[in-house]
Amino acid sequence: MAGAAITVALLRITPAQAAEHAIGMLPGTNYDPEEHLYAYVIDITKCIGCGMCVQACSRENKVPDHFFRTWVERYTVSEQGEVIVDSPNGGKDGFKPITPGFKVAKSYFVPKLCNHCANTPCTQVCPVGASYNTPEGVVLVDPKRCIGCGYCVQACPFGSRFINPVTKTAEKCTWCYHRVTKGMKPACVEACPVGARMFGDLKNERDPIRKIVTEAHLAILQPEKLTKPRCYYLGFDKEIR
Amino acid sequence: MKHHRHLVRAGAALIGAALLFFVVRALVMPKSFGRFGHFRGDNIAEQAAIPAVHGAPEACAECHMEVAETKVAGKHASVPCQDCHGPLALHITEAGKEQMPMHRSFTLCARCHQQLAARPAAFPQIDLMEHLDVVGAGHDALTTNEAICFDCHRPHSPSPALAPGTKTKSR
Repeated sequence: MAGAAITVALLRITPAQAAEHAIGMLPGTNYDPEEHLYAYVIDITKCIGCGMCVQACSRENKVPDHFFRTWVERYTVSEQGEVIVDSPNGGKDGFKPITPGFKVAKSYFVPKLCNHCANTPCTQVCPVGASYNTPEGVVLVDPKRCIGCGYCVQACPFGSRFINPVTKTAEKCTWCYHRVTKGMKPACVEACPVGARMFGDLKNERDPIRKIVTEAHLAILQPEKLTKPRCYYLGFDKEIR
Repeated sequence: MKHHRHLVRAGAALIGAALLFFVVRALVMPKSFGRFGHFRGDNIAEQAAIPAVHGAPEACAECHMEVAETKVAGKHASVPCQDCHGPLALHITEAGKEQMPMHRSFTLCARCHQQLAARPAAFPQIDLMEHLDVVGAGHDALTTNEAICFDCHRPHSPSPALAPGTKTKSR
């Protein structure tokens, strides 16, 4: 009896209460998180490696120098299958020609960012409940609760997180949550001059992202980790890690 | 039967400890913690309230219609204004209108158009040195004239190129 009572008290909330607390509109807006489910698609075949996305991200989110919420990698593959991956300053200043020391069979750019996994290893390891998934599928960090232990930085298989050297808290791509809740796209998506980065709402019937996510041939990073990323890649290649 | 008193004391201590636990817990935990899940629910609204730095893509055309029309008709139609000019928050500030920083350098153009093996082949690219030879500018032109691209190319509608030296400062 006592055990049951303590369990109920510890949970603090019953399913009925949870329903009562349905998030509803964010204060001062007509944005309801429950009405959205976001997805991000990256078209590798279109990316020109200009790095405007990385620059826009760092300006939009005041990302400290040498840290990246999104970055662009260049894959250079030889005829024998050797792979060189480089990302000078995360691609923020663009790329310069390289001499890889072998005959280049193919080469391409791969933009990367937080995959906003549905099955997140990073939020699971947070000891203080600072990292969480929003109803729209966005993975966020509460800087007021984060103690900067860095467990989540280690847990992320994609290297998407870092400890901000100024605030000493974990930081990551938020899909520009402060922009998408205002009806805009993430800064990286709006900065892309060739449309290689796409973002949209799967719960919006008119959003072109729905057609892409349901009909196109998409790949995800490290599917063997079973994290269920919400970032999808078009034109994926076997060398990409 | 005074041994019963041990049990009563232990029981009282347990109940006291449990009460203390819940009191401390209620004081320490943020109010909105656990409202939507194992996190502070208020943080969702806090994150959403952060002001945007970059404006919406159509924001620039509200004032700069003329430039927007030139751009839409040209090859740079899909290039966002704020890529080259910087975020809108630098221009429209609380203090009023500020001068936008202008990045008039060949390095800006090279970010997209320097020939690289990794770029899609169909994307217009040039080998910078070769291009300088073709237009007859000489290799040291880059050090003497950083804005050399704009001698022939209008940034908002770069193609076709103008005769070298036409020097269109903008448009």
